[in-house]
Amino acid sequence: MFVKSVGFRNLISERSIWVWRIRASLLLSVLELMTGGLFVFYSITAFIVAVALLMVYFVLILFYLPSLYLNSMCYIKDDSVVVKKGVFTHKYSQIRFSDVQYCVISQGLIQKKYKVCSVCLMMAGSSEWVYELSLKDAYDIKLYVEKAGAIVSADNKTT
Amino acid sequence: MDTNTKYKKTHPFSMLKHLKISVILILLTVLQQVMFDPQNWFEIISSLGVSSLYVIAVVAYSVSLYRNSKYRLTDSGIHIKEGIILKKKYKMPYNRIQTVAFSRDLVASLFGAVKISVDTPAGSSRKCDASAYLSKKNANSVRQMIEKGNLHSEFYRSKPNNILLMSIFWSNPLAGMLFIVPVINESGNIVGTEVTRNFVVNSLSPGNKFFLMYFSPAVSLLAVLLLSSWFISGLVVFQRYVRFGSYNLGDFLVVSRGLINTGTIYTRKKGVCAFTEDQSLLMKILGLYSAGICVAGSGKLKGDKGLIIPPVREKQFVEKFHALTGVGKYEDKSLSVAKGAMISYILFPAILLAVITAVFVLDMVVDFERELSLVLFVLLVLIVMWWMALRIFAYKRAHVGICGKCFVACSFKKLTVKKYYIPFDKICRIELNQNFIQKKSGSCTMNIYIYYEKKMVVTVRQLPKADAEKMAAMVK
Repeated sequence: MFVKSVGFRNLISERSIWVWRIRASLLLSVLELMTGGLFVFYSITAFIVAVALLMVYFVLILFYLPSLYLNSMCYIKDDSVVVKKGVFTHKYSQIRFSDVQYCVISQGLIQKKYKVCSVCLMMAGSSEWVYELSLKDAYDIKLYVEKAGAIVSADNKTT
Repeated sequence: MDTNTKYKKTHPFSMLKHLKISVILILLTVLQQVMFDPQNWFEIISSLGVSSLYVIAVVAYSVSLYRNSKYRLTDSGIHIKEGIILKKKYKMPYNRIQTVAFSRDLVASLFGAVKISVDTPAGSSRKCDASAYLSKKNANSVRQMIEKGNLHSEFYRSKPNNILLMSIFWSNPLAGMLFIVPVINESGNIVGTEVTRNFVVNSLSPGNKFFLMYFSPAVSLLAVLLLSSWFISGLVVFQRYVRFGSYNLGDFLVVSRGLINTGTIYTRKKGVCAFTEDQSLLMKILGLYSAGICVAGSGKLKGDKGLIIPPVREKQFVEKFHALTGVGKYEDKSLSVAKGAMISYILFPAILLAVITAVFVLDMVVDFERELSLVLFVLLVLIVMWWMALRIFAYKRAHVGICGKCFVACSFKKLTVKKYYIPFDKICRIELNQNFIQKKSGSCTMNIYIYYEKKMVVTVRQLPKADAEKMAAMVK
């Protein structure tokens, strides 16, 4: 086993909730602006839509996003990465590093401020996104993938 | 060490590529000008100002995208950085890369740019994992990296008459009409209906006059349009595939093609999911065979169908195929479809034929556009009969087998009979299905699932179940 065991530490950062809340706030601002435009033509409808949006927003930031964080897990187990996510529908994936072709690390402006990033594990026929990892953990995963790839390549050459 | 080399920018031609995608937004400015209909200088200036904002935004976006797209080649892989607001960084290790394609179209070559596309088994099955325009010098250095230390095998160049024949097989009137119809339409809109009538529509008259001797104006116009479309489509395919050549280069299988738009594709042989031996009905009549490959990255470039050997005679084909692919010439074991299973192969076309005939008879009774209906009926019957003949041909050739380290499955897909040579390590699983009719006859359908970037299944129908189970067990 070439991976140094890190126990079952959840790699998803605690700052992820704030990133998601800021995104939700930005989205709400844009939607409310559009509702404001609608208000000129259909005032009552626009008012109802605006109130509904606000209610959804509060449910999202107070209940859904914290649940999402509590149900989201990413940890390294032996020579694979385990990803668990979902609030209403739970999803579990165990992905061997040797099955990953390469990793894509992406970082938006809000993620840059909170020093987190997203990692996409690209596999044959599918891909898996892991959101809001610290940069160090993301690069560690990338390194494990590269090491596993090198071992697979060496095995293929000997066979 | 990976940190020694610096990140390089792609070729500025990439900006034009992004602009090409944004052309709809630029056309919006024109639409806005037309709809706004400014009445005075103030309105003209203010509307132009709004239009120019669109253009500036689109150009600024293309320039930002170009400035933020960089790459770096190291000993272990390709490092890529891209993105404006959402920045992406990734590294594609060389040992994961299956296909590298170099393509040059006429416009890009005027600017000295070459498009390189890199593909792995990951990512989308429709788009390459990474592609960029590089200068000729940088593209050549990448090419030299691939070719370094690898031995060049015998080069197989296809004859132009084979490519011409293939262009005729592969082109179809619909593809050609996609070129012709907008041209006729747009020229009419730009120059006016009088000019259109004089130059465009009347130019079809000579063809019409010929057909008018035997058919109605509508049918003769349709015939002329179909033939012109077929000719244009054939020309496009011909220029895409002329000077087609293939050879082995160490671990790579290399295919080069094209006259105006040229392309060279390097494919790692170990990554090939299946080699195919293809034969359509027309090719069977002419005694021709062609070959292709299924690998991550094949079929994604414009006009690329994973072809490695264009249609050639059987003797030449056998020699080239086995030299290029390394697959054995003879099958160690073979299992054909059950006797008497031909009915299941031709059932669907037979039903379709009956339906077409019924519709035609009804139309004769109702007496609606008799001549056009007759022509359409004859055309449809010919197509269905052709399809039925193909299915009979597929039935005679259908089988599974083992050839060296490959599993062989011969089946049909669309209008071609394909014989797949699938390396054992590329088979995900083999499934045997049996419906209630097959249960009584003791036959089954074998589905072979192949390791590929999207779902890929080879289906062979009506194999004897007991023998098929033994064959599947051998593969395990």
